[in-house]
Amino acid sequence: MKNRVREYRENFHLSQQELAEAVGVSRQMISYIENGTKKPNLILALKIAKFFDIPVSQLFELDVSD
Amino acid sequence: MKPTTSEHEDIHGIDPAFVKHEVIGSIIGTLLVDLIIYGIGWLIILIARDENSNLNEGLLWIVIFWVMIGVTVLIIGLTLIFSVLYVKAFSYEFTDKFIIIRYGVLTKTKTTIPYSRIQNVAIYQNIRDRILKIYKIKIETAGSSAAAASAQKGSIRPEGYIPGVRNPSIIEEKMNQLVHKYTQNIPKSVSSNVFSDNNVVFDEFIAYFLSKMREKDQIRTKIRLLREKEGITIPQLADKIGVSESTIQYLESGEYVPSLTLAMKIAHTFKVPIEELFELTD
Repeated sequence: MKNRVREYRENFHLSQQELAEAVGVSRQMISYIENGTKKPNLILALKIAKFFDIPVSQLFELDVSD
Repeated sequence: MKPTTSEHEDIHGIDPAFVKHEVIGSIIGTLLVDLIIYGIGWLIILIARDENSNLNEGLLWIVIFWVMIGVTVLIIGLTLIFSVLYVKAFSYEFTDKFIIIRYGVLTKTKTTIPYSRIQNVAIYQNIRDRILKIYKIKIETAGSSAAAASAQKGSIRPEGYIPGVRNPSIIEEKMNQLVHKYTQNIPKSVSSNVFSDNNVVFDEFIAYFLSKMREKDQIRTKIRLLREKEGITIPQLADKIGVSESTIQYLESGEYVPSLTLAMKIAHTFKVPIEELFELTD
């Protein structure tokens, strides 16, 4: 799974902590997601996309590993 | 008879007066039951009179009388047997770190309470206890996060319950002494770490489980709608995505929140954006 969370977050000039608080998870979780260590669950993905006001498909993309 | 005390192991039993306490309770209960049976007798006679049947009232009262006696003997007898066994099975023990309470006639229970978690020791008496000069002891704990949460809502969970205690001040003193020993001189921030035990892990598991259960309320799905619009069946969809039919059924009923990967695969199958398939509820 490819993701552009970091890209969008930096475009908005937000820290991981600020994004984490906005979507109600730990900063660690945001870091994991950005690095691709963990996949977010559907609810979190929807929340992040909603926060940036973009479709989920722009933020996360399936790749061959999925 | 005094509570059995062994110097070495510090195991105590409860006072046999507890049996009397239970029997008095069951006598009061039985009186109520008898009264109800008596009332039923009157009811039968009232109804029978209305229908002009040839009811033998004398015989009916004899039957009711014997039923009342039978019920009385049965309830009091069972209470007597049960409470004697209860007293025999009940023991509490002070070890250096825990108070261990064993009880139960049919279901045997062993409760282990660390002194570090004891919040309050309550001693109380109901009217029967006062007549018999015995006490009940309730040990309230609130150490784990779940317990702390429930304590915030005003209900401290009593974990330890010891009935039929002749001399509660001895236990109270002993417990205060031990609780003090384990909680004094420890900074508050450290104490929560020092005493984190397996129960905390269990609490976290429960919290995780509950959050999983609540997940489904955060999301609404239109899978069924889209599937029916496309005119495909559950087995066909399951086959397309490569999951089991029951997964699709759970998804459609909203019982199950899929992983992002699965959600994306489904969205891809229907050629719609994920947002159209799953919606946040708030």
